[in-house]
Amino acid sequence: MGNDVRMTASVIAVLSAFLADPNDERYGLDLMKDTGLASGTLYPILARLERAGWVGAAWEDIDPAVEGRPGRRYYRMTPDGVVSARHELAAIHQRLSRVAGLSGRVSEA
Amino acid sequence: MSIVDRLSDACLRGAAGRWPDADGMLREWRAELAFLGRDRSLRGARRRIGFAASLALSAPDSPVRYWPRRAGAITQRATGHLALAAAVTMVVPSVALAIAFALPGIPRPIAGVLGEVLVVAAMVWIGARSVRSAPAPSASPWRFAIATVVPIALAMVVALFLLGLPPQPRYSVMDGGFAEATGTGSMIAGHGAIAWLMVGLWAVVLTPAVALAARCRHVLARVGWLVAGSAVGLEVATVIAAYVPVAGSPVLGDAVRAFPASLVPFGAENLPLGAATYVCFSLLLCAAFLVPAVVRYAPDEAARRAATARFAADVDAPRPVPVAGPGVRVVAMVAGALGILVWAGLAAQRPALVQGDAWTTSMPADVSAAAMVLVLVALVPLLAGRGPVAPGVLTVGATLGVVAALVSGHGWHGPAVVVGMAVVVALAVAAAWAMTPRMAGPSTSEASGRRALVLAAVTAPLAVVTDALAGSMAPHGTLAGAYAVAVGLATVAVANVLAARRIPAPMVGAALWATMLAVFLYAVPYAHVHRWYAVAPDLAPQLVAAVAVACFARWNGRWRTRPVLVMAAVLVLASFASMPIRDVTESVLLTPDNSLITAVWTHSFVVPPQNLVLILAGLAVAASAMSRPRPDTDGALAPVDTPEPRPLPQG
Repeated sequence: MGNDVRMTASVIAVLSAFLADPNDERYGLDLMKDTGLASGTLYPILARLERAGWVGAAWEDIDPAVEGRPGRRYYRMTPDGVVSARHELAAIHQRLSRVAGLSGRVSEA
Repeated sequence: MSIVDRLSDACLRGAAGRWPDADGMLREWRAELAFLGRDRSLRGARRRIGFAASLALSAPDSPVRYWPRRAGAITQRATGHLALAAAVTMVVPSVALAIAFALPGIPRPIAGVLGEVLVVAAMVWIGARSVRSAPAPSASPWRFAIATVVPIALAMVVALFLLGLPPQPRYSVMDGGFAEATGTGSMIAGHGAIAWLMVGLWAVVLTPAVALAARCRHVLARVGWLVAGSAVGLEVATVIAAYVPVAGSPVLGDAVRAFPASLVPFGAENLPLGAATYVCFSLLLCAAFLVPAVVRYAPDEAARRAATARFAADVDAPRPVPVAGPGVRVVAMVAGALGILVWAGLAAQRPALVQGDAWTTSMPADVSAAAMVLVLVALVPLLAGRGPVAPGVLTVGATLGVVAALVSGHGWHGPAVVVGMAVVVALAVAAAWAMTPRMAGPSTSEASGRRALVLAAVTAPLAVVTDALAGSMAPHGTLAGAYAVAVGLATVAVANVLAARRIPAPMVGAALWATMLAVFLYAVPYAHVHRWYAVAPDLAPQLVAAVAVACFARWNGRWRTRPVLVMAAVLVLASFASMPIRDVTESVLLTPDNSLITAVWTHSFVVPPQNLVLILAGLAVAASAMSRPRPDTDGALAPVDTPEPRPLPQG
């Protein structure tokens, strides 16, 4: 698994959506709705996360003729991905907290 | 299937084509689109279009197939080819003129043809190199280049003979045709139907449009063809406009008037053609070397991906110009010194040389331009290995142009002028020598860009002063070839900037197309000789620079105020610098006889020095942009610098 996921605001939003329930399977439109990201932003991020091994993907096993729609592709976080994502988000949270604390001290002064 | 569904599916297909797993992505997106398709209301249609368009305009998560990486690498390499081609078109005419001058027994058309043969040979060589270095290199680049350059070159020479035009090597239509031929031929390899639409003399104006069409066809089905068709429409409109009288301006379209001197009678529609081809030459040259490699079809996907990955690596880590050997450096020094002496000597003796017919009169200027090229070419191996070569070379080029304009404008001549010009150039070369290492280094891309911007800002006032001191005359020493170099390289720089950013192909095409439109706006008024529209000619390169500024202004989510202000200042100064030239043009153009044609013709040959300034600005932007780490599509967070805690005030 690679650790080359660059943490951007959009990536953080996607990871947060996944981590709300790490065992849940999500599809593209679902994530777009949760994160507010456009499709052109979301899918490159999903591809990046998948390449890094943080997210796995699988096709929905349905009969399109019966369901009346084509099968979707579902994404779910891998166990390693959950650990890595939580670690990265915690680190970012810590950094932002430090900056916020500094600015608060300066404004109080 | 509704129009919305068709459009959405076309967008998805275009977007998926750029992803490594194209089929899988298309299947996934179609499934989501099918879900959105259940809502047949207007809101549902808007969501479907939004879903598909967002994907179509976004960058895939693939470092290999994403076209800007290819385009960036190609433009980077094409810069050398472009400069070489422009240099050839500047040098060869002087060779032909020198032949005619030295061997008066030879009929001048023969000398012209000899020059053209040289041009053809050089263009074939350059074209072969260009084809070979494309991402999908051709198996037979030489045969390919010969097959594309030679037939059209021959056709043009024959056409000019049939029309009774003297085959002057300087004739821009031919130069533009050669450049166009290379690009057209390259495209024939993969997109035969598209390329054949371009064949012909008039097709020289269509290259960027076809490039755009080739890209857009993935996105909006047939819209790309409409764009290409609009180029034809624009051309037709240009010709028609030449016959529409404008109040207060001479009407040329009601009759065929005789061109002065040796040229044949012509109609008003030839004015836009002549002007456009002259100014379009550099853009076309640029497009010719950029377009085929970008849009060319390659049947072997694996080979194409491997080649593209190699190019992408070049973009991410540009290789410096290798150090030249001692022998090459000695030859370069001798050649450069010779070029300086010839350039200064010709300028100093200019009053004595410019007597006689058109050929003899133009010879000093052409040889002078060739000498300038020789100096600049010689400078490359001398600066190689010390850092980025282009800023130093172009600074010296701008200095040469400014000095030539001053000397020419004042009519200075004599030995003292030779010494003075040589000293100035030597100082410029020394400055380039000293400046180049300061631009080198692993983290100097932004710094080098900033220094080049400063250079541009310094040169811009020089341009203003030059125009003022030169008695409001355009500098004679700066010919259309210099314009070709200037605008061509600026276009390459802009293409680099656009390609280095994650900007969708249609937007890049639109930017280049807008430039072409500006050029045509330039061409039309010369048929009318309308003073208001005479402002347009200088706007084309400035438009290019403006696009560069717009792209550079916000990079990776951060505004870069200072460089933008500097570039804006350059543009303002350049605009002021171009004013005296227009004054002269107007006073001559209002002459009711054929001399106005001569004025137009002359005006097409000169180049305002501010274009040389713009080139520096464009290259500065390109240099700064090319080696900057690419931002992610979604905008990476700027690194958070945690400041050291400051001591709080007591009490």
